[in-house]
Amino acid sequence: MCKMVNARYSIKEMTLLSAMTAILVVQEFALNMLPNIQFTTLLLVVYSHILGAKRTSMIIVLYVILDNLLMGSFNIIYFPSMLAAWLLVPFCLHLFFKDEANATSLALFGFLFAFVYGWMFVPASIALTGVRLTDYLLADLPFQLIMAVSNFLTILWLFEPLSKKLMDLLPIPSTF
Amino acid sequence: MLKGVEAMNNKTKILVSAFIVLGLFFSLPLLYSKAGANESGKLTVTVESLSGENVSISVDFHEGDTLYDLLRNYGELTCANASYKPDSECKHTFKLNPFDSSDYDYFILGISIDGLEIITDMSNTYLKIMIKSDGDSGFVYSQKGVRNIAIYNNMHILIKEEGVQNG
Repeated sequence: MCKMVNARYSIKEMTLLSAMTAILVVQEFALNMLPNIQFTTLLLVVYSHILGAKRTSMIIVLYVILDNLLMGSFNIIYFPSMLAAWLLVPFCLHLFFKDEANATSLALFGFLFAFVYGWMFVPASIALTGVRLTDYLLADLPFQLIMAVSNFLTILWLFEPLSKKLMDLLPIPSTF
Repeated sequence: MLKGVEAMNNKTKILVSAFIVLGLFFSLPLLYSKAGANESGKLTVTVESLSGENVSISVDFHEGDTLYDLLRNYGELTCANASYKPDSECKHTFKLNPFDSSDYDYFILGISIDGLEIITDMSNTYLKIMIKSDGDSGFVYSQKGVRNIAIYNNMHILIKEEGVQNG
């Protein structure tokens, strides 16, 4: 088993992935008091760009498990929704934005992603609470808008400097 | 579709960012529903204890009333303070939106109506609030607290003591 792990990921790489997961979790908690204002989408876009979809997906799995454990929100219905929603970032970027490094395009993606992220929780919320679809969508709209603007601005302004910095720090070739 | 969008220079970025932030600033208040009834009417409140004992009262309300106002008028409430300990004066409010000081709610730990008195402790029991609007077939969980639940004529509100382990 060790041989297989070593063949695919070096200790340095695994340490980097862990550190990046830690950054993701810490920023989430640091901005916890602000509703839907976070750097999660920005970081996942940067990670996808630098590390590739596969490595970013591994970070996301760890991040979602940690986030739910620390927030006390581990729930068999919500957990898959959250995991699937965040996995959409590397998946969509890999599928539609291969090699794209234009902050404006990615910022627009981040803006639209906020709404998709919110909609991913609709089935779970309806199953758990029985709330009407229209009520849920209307109640969630302000939070989706805040996340959309937060995503757009952070990616627009920080994607390029962060990617450049990370590229300098990491000797991992970009495999978007 | 989004791929290949022309990159912005810094001046355009500043303008677009300012436009988006202002847009959000002015659109958010329109999307938040204001607390308080939009009309006058009558609703039913049922309070049920863990043992199944329950009381139902019919309550008249007027424009601007919240469920919190009605419950205080027709009974007694025990709210949670900042440490989630009982506070019968309901002095503490929980902010829902850090950008809007008028958007807050109360956390209800206990209620006393028509001789039925329930007090919960957050560790073993809690009060769940369910609503049924006119025409609905059954109760659904309220998505909002007692101050922000939208109240309508002929609505039925169920406040039920529930054990934490029963969900």
